[in-house]
Amino acid sequence: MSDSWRRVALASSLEDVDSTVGEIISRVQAGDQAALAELYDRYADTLLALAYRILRDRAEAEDVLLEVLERAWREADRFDPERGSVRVWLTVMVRSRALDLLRVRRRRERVAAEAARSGDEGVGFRGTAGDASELEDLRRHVVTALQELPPAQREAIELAYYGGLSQSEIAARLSLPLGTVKTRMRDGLQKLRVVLRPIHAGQAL
Amino acid sequence: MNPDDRDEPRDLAAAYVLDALDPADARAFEAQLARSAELRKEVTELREAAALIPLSAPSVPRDDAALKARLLSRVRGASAGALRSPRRSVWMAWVGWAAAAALAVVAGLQWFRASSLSEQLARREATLDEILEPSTQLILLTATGERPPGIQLFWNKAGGRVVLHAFNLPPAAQGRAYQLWFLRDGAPVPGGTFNSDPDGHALVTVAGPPADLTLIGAAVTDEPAGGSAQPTTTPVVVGTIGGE
Repeated sequence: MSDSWRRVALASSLEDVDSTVGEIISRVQAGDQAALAELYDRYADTLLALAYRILRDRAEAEDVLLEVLERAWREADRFDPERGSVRVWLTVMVRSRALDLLRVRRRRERVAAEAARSGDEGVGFRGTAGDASELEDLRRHVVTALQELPPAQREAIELAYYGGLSQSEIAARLSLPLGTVKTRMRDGLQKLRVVLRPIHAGQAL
Repeated sequence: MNPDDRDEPRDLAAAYVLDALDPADARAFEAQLARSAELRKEVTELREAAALIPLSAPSVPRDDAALKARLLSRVRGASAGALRSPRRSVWMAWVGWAAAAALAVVAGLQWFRASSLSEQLARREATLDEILEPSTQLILLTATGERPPGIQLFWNKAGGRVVLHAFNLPPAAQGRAYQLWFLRDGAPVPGGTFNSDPDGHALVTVAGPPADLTLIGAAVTDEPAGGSAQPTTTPVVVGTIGGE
């Protein structure tokens, strides 16, 4: 299968995952609990994986997932499609909350270095038995995109995304000039955007 | 932070999206963002790309039935019911009194209960968008005294919303809140309620006055936490449109 063809197929599969989510959000806004369960079905896997990748603690990650979905339920009125997709809204909330907890824990344990380093196992990938196959395809595509980045760029992105570190902190951690970290982060995310654009451009919402 | 002229705004967008900018860079970038629709589009696209990153994180085995049950027990009665309905019913009572007092105020309540940097930034961006909208009119509410409280209202007429910024305003007592009033020729029309931080600041987005109302000014009073249908205390601050 050619790469471009494959991207078209992937775009339509993300559309399957993210489409009609606007309708679900409307029902959530109206207080429909079944709609909340549907939101869970669509995004729980990714959101829990994200929280776990940051926190490395299943119970804490589950708490974050539930807290964010509850918040989405309470604050559905505040969701504004003009500012990004539902996927962005939920992942930003999960990441923020998980990073808040991570920072609290780091302060408590005073082991800043250890916590973000623990994410440094390369890009792991493991699906679960119940996963929808289109989601699996999407994941493979994103994993491939990340793996194709120069490792230094990927490291900068992952230390920021999963470790919650600022550019200065990353520069200090890696003993690199700040400018180098800035360049790696910019080039890396721009590349990801180009590779992933056909996917997220296909999203409804 | 040493000034680094080589950083073009576009170069900072990726780090901004990853919340990785150092504070001085973040402030500089936000100033650019407020001015450039193109840059906002860039940020939106990068956010969509970044939101796909966690698809690559390994799945975590989980018990969906148990988690969903926990989720539903969390929301049942606790949120949509308790948080929305009573407030709405308060507002509904006002509708009869003040015609079209907008229900959308509920959405703006506690808009600024910040919990993380990225959300703070996103909210700040939204607030800037409201304030920088061409139709936005500034109304100053003032008082007299030693260190008087003041409130700036940025009335976004196109969007029908008001960004309210208060300063030197001591927090309302337990069970009380501040309430915004829209002044017209006749009884004041109730607006949203809010409270200030211990440092005397408040920044909230609330619904604007009904579209058919000829606004001559605005005021803020101290009211019971749920808000009142008509002012029950003397205004803390008052301002009129087009003058002191």
